[in-house]
Amino acid sequence: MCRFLKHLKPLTVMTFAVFALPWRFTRGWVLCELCIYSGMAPPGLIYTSRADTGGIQETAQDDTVYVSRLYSESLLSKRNEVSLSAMCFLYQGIIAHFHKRSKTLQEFEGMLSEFGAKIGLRLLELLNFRSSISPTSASAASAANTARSNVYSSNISTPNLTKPSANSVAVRDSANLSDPQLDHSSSSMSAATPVTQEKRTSNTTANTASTVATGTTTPHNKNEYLSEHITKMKRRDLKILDILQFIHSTLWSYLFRHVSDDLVKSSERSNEFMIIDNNPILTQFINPSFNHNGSCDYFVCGIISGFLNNAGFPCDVTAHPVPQGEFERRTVFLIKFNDQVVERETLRYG
Amino acid sequence: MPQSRSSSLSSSNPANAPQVRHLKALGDDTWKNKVEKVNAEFFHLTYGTIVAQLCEEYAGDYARVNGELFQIGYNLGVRLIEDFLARTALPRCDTFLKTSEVVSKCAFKIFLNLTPEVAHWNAARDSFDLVFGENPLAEHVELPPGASGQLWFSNVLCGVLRGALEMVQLDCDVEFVSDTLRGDMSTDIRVKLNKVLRDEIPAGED
Amino acid sequence: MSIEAILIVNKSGGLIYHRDFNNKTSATHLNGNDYLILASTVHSVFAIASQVTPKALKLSPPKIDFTIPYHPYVGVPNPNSSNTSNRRTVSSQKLGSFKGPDFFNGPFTSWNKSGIRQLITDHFTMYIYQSLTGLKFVALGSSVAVLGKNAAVSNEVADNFLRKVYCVYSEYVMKDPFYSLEMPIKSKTFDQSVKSLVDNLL
Repeated sequence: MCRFLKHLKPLTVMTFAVFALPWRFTRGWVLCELCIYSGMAPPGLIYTSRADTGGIQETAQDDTVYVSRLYSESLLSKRNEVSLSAMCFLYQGIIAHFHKRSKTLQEFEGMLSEFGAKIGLRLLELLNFRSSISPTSASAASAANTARSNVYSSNISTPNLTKPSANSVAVRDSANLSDPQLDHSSSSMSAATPVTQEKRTSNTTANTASTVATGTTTPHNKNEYLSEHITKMKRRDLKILDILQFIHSTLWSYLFRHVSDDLVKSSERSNEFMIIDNNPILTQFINPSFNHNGSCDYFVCGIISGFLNNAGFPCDVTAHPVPQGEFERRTVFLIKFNDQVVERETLRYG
Repeated sequence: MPQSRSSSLSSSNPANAPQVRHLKALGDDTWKNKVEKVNAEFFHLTYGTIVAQLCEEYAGDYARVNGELFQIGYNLGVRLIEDFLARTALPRCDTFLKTSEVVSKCAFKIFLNLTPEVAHWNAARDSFDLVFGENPLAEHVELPPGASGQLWFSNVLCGVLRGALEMVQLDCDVEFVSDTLRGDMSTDIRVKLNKVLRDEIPAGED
Repeated sequence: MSIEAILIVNKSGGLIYHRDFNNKTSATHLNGNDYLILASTVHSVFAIASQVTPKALKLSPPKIDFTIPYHPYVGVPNPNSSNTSNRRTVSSQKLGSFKGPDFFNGPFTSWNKSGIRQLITDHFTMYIYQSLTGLKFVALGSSVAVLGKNAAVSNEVADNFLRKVYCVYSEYVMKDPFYSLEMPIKSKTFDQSVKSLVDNLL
């Protein structure tokens, strides 16, 4: 099994593991703790690792033995936070970087979109995983809290099929997601679970370890794996509306801590849908001039398109600023599915 | 020339303790009550993607990637300092020791919710290390083979520190000395003061 | 105190922002060039003033407290006021990346120790707030502050106010990737935020 998997590319392994292998079989394997690389995976090679090793080891004689500690990291949501300032400054740096390299506005938007797509494809796997956590899993109280709010929000908020011209009702899941108290309740619950910090070697001072501990808002059990809390994987979304619901609620609340303000189907074209954000938080400080009107929102477009394209729904996503009433920065993300997607939907579901 | 490095001064000097406590309290209070927050994982994913993109673009020339990250960080730092000063309105640091405490207890706390330790002061007291347990911007990251000896993943932080300190008239050299991603014990950033830019200190401050 | 104009001067003495808030006739209105001259003059005079400290004071400096006390809700709607419309504005208005009803809520130290802080004339009062990075925020007020305690209080209020302009600057100008440092500010969102600060002051 190890040798076979060694030769597959990381993403293929992930897909393979998700759809083919029953969970009980893979439970014993650390490999099933699918890690989302930040794009730094060694191409084409997977290394097995042992759960008890916490570091990178290289033997003196044979330096091809490489034990990655990536596989022993938990994918449970740690609910850590950074300041909005830091995120906006980073975003501003990234935009300036792309702006320097692009000659036309279209090129700039394309680069930003491609950049976002890389994040979107990773979030597809990660969020699907996290929303598969069974609500009854007792030991995952803190993790389930995150997952439950994500899972239930997609059930509570109903798909909004109003025509875009009518007043759209904002589908906000108020109780769970935008409530900052959730952070405190989850941290208090997880405090009850035993906290075992991964033991680093003796050279690091105790101070450093405690500094790391104070850095995270939720002390988490490093040996607690996401897979332990999943009894049944969430089924892949096959309907357009289901996956859009997932984006509108789970993805949006992961990114921006609130569900998107509206999900609308276009009345004119059957392959167009719109997700509306009244106040995009990443671009709220950027001056909207006619030169760059809405271009900086293409990052989020990229996230959505990366998400949808990799979920099997090829589409194009564009951003359009549409101020309305008191919301001057209101942005509409227009999702145009390829014709084959709509055809497929009609054939399968009538 | 090997310089003797000592552990953190602040904890040993009782005169500084109330000042340090005040800075820590300010940092904690600002983080808790006065700062809007976002999902840290999203932040790390975004940062990781830009590093990966640069690595791809420069096809293995990791020195150039480091340089580019530093430059991005520098442009970020010269702006970030205004946000920090507007938010905290801290008076000018009269010693480099105070600077180190402000950077570790307030600045990192307010922006990234981290409190690195200040350690390894040199004999001349003009260089210190910021010690992080894990690499602060690397969540679920593994360096590709070949990059391990060359790429400093979080080099943007060095740029940020250099840019920010330059705007308050402190010319410093900031660089990584160790990184847990490379298998080292801790992640260390060394900040060395070259000189205070006295000519550029704005008029009106004595 | 009503604010007539706000200027922002960069560290080289160049004017990067100016905005008038009064509705006076164009006869008393300065044109763009005049503002540039005003900015560089303020910058130079500010620097000269810091050199003019009498020698005696320099030899035995008196213990001056440079702490500026906090005046609550200067420039932002007061959530505790009896005015119900004010309360509604507070709940809907968010201060960008600043959490809470106000940008800051404690006393702070002035960075301006020997430069000009307040200039009182028969026709207007000028308040100057300088940041650690050399950026000067200048507010021109219409009312004439009477010398003495009133002048001190109005100076404190002005410092609180100008620090908020600094906060707004760090939000809407520093986080804008299309703004180049030291260049004139052309941001609609910045204009709007400054205007709301000034409006809330009255």
